[in-house]
Amino acid sequence: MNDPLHAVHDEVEARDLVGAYLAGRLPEAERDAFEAHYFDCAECLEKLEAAEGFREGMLQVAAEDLAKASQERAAVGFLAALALLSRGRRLALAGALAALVVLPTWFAVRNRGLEQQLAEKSASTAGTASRSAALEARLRDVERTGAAERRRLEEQLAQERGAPAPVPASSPSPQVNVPYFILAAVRSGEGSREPVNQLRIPDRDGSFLLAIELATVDHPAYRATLSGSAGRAIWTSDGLRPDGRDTLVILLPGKMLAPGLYRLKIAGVEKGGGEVAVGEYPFRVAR
Amino acid sequence: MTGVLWYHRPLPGDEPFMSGRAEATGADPIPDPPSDAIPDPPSDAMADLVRRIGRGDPAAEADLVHRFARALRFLLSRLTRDGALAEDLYQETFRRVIEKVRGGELREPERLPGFVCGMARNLFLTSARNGTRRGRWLGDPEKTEVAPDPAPGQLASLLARERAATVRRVLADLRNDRDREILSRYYIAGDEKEEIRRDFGLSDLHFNRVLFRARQRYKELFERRQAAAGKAG
Repeated sequence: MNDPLHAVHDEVEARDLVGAYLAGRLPEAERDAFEAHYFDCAECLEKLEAAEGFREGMLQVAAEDLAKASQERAAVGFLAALALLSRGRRLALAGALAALVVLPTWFAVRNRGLEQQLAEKSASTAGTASRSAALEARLRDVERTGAAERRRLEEQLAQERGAPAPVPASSPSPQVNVPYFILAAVRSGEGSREPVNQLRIPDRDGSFLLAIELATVDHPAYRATLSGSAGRAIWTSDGLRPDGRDTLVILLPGKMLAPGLYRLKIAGVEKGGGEVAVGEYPFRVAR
Repeated sequence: MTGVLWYHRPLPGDEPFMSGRAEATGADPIPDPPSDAIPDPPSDAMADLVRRIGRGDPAAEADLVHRFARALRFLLSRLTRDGALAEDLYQETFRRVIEKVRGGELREPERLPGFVCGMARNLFLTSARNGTRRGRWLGDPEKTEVAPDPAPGQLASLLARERAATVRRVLADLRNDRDREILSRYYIAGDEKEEIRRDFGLSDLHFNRVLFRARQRYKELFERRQAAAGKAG
């Protein structure tokens, strides 16, 4: 095979130079030579465009899936509270609420009617005093009954609110002993060493918590950027605020991070949008 | 095989094809082209093109743009990740290349492709050092009349959605979860190839084959979608 271009293309394929170039993994001299080559080679340029499109498509898919998962979690917050009540309890609660609204109205109306009757009777005849007294007694009874009924319903409602609702089979079960890691920041110059933060995540399907104690809480909000070993951002979140212990606590799904090296960067975000690096937290995920 | 077949050793007496002077504009010296160059492109055609540009032939300039436009756009879009900046640098690269070729500064016409991409990379580095247009505006909004819109354009967003849809199809077509996981780790998590290979017990060739198959399938599907969209349009 004497065609030098053919040999070049064999080499490109055998060493996956397209992938290595796009991942920025070629040494400078090879990178320059490959660039000079594909500037005048339609075949290699096409391969590069396809590979770059695929790489960007993969990142877009990951971003879309992450955004969708966040939206679902937000929607589930309200629905989950309702879903935690069984159908029977939901009906009972609705009935109790309706009774609380309807019964006092009914008693008030009935009360007014009795008062009216009483007034009419009092006016028409003095001899009806005894009947009037009976009516008053009846009225008091009705009011007592109403109050007792109201108290009973209020107690029932309080019980419904306080009682632990049965968990439907479809809802996610609670996680016990969720892995919890406190990340230590690195000083400049330690970037290339094996990270001191070693995260052994036993369960790929579970979640784990990362706690980052901030050295400074002078910024109105913070931005977290999680990158893989090649420096590509996997996840970014803005508008973060530390809790009362100056700590950012992040819950991550186990399947989001395959074993390998990662770096979490925290930056303070100023009101004008300016960004100030606050800390870097390299870590290794192992299973 | 670990060598790089397309390199050739510079011959004794090889002259640098470009001077290394800094420009008055503050740009860095033009870097030497890769000395280990690729097999020469049809050097007659390249020499003819350089000669015609040197003579000030406008058709030759159009040929130059036609020949390198796609590759230059690809390189600049990767370097800048900013459509507007890439467009600025695209124009500037061709302007300077033509200027220098006319001035006789390219002494080895067969190295024209390396010269063009070297010029583009150099202009990008200068631009990055001076700060992007948006960065300059954020630094001092008073000094610039219009802040560039950081949001991707409609076309870019549409393309991104198209790419994602095609990738979903490729992933759905894969026959096993292992390949899906390999692709996710390589392209999304950015894991090192060696690490992934070790975890899955794959040879270098096998690993490359997984990537190659997925990219090839992506290319076919994407082109099919583009063709269908073209027909519909």
